[in-house]
Amino acid sequence: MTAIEIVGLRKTFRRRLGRANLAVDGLYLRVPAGGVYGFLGPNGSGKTTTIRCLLGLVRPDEGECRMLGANTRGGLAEVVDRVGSIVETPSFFGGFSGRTNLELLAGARGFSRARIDEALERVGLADRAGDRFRTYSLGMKQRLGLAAVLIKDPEVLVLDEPANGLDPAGLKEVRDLLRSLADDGRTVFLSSHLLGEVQAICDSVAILSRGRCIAQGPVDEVLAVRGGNAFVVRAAKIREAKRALDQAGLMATFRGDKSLRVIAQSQGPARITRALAEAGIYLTELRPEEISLEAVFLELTGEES
Amino acid sequence: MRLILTEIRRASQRRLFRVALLGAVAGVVAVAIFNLGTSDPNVESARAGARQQIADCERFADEERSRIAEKGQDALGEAFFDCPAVSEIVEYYDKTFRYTDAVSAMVEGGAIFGAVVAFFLGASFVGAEWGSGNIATFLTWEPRRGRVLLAKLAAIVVVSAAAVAVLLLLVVLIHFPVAFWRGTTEGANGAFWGSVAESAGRAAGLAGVFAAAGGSIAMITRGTAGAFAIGGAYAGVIDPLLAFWRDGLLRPWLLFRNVPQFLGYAVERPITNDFTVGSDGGASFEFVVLSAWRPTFVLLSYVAVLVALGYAAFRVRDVT
Repeated sequence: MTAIEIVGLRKTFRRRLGRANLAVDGLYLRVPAGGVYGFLGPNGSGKTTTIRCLLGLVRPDEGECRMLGANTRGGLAEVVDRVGSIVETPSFFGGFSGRTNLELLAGARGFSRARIDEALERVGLADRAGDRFRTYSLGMKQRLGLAAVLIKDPEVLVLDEPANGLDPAGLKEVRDLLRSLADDGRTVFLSSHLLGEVQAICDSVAILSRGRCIAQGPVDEVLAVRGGNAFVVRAAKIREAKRALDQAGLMATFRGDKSLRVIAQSQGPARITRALAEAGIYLTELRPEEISLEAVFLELTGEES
Repeated sequence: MRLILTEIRRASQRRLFRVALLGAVAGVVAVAIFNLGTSDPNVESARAGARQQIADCERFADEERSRIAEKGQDALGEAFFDCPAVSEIVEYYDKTFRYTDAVSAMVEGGAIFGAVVAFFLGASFVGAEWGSGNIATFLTWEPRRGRVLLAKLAAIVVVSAAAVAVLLLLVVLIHFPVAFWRGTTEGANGAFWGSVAESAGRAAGLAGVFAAAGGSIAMITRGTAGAFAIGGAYAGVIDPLLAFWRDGLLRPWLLFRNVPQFLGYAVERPITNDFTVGSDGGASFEFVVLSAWRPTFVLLSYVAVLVALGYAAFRVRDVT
């Protein structure tokens, strides 16, 4: 089942003076129901515009967004109680307390006060709920935004940088919270710059660059496509080892820790060990390189730009 | 209805609204204290004041007569030296607090003040939504923008009208003790109460109209300052310019020409059609109270147009 579907989304922001800015350029995306889906991209790649289109805040020029089967242009009201969202830094009334802000939102859709208390407790903001929103730190504002999302007990969570401004302990809490929500069968659509966090909790990712999706799929698959043929080689005579590997037609480069990064398209370990053995060099370490999502992200978005 | 109730709660909890309401209450109380301090129900002191003025007048007349006689100038005639009788001028010295006159004047005058404040509150109520960015958050809870706009406008109309009605009720109540101690409630009969209720109702209605106008303009400008600027420009420049340019043609349709009629004020009306000066040297105008039907229609038309423009702007433009 698909929780979110984006088909051919295109959005251009027209300025009064100067040229138009193409924010999203024919985006296709299918987010399966259940699990955490990471939505990545450098600044200006169109993540927030996509999310705003998804939530009905911005009208796309072309294309269609569907959430829980409803077209978000016109049909969002049918599913809005099943969707919780944060767009960039959560915005509330500065002069009202956190609790009052939540009561005003919840009251508009008829959610009970018990849900508000529960949500505040869950994000660790119950003690400060009576304070004015404008006195909150960025991390507390994010927590209040998450509390607003949780009031609905939503099936789909659309979160734009929910970890912004959180301290390490807060980051871990949010990570655990999102993971537990996904484990309960909910869909978390998560836009974030914190790639380590995304890799730690996401089941699938999409990487956006210049308004287009340049990679998407389960995290393991995205990593494997880019990192599956790289190996780390360590040997006593590292310079001779590099020379021997180069002569064998394997591309070897120095890493910072007195080891080599070797690219081998097929039968990598066998070719590497044979080349080194023929040169009389003995391995002390040979392992597949663990490529991070960050490395893939930088590589992909770097290629694009 | 749930949406409207939530918006009413928000409107009534805003600090600006509470400060404005408290300020208005303080103003009403201050006026009552001023009236209490400056009124005096003692008719004899008023007569004494009148007699003193007459005495001054007669002394001055005597001095003038003597001066003229000494210089041998022509007499101006006795009529020149006539001084008034006590009954003719005693009303100017009468400081009795007349409840019916004072309350009627305050209710009518308060209506204009209430309308201006309501415009600013309406503009600020919607403008703050954009200023804080909360509009984006709110739309993720209620994406139907028409409902959102109408709920906000309904809320600010209800809150503004109710606040004006409550303030005018306070004016009516707080001046009772002033009349009791320093004046009279003579004339406070059924017709008077009916008239006050009608005036208060019109004042509350006008506040609602202006609040809706302020909110609608703020929805177009997406901010409070822009709405204030447009409201100020219309009131200070556009309406007067239009009146100056085509008074005869546009008068029936200009906003600020209709407000006094809506409130039931006596307004100028030309006796003749050509607006010429009368044969007696005075302008050919009379002051009359006109029907409120047409001004009601005109005011509601203004608001309907602004709400439609506000809705169109809100519906079409992106929330970024």
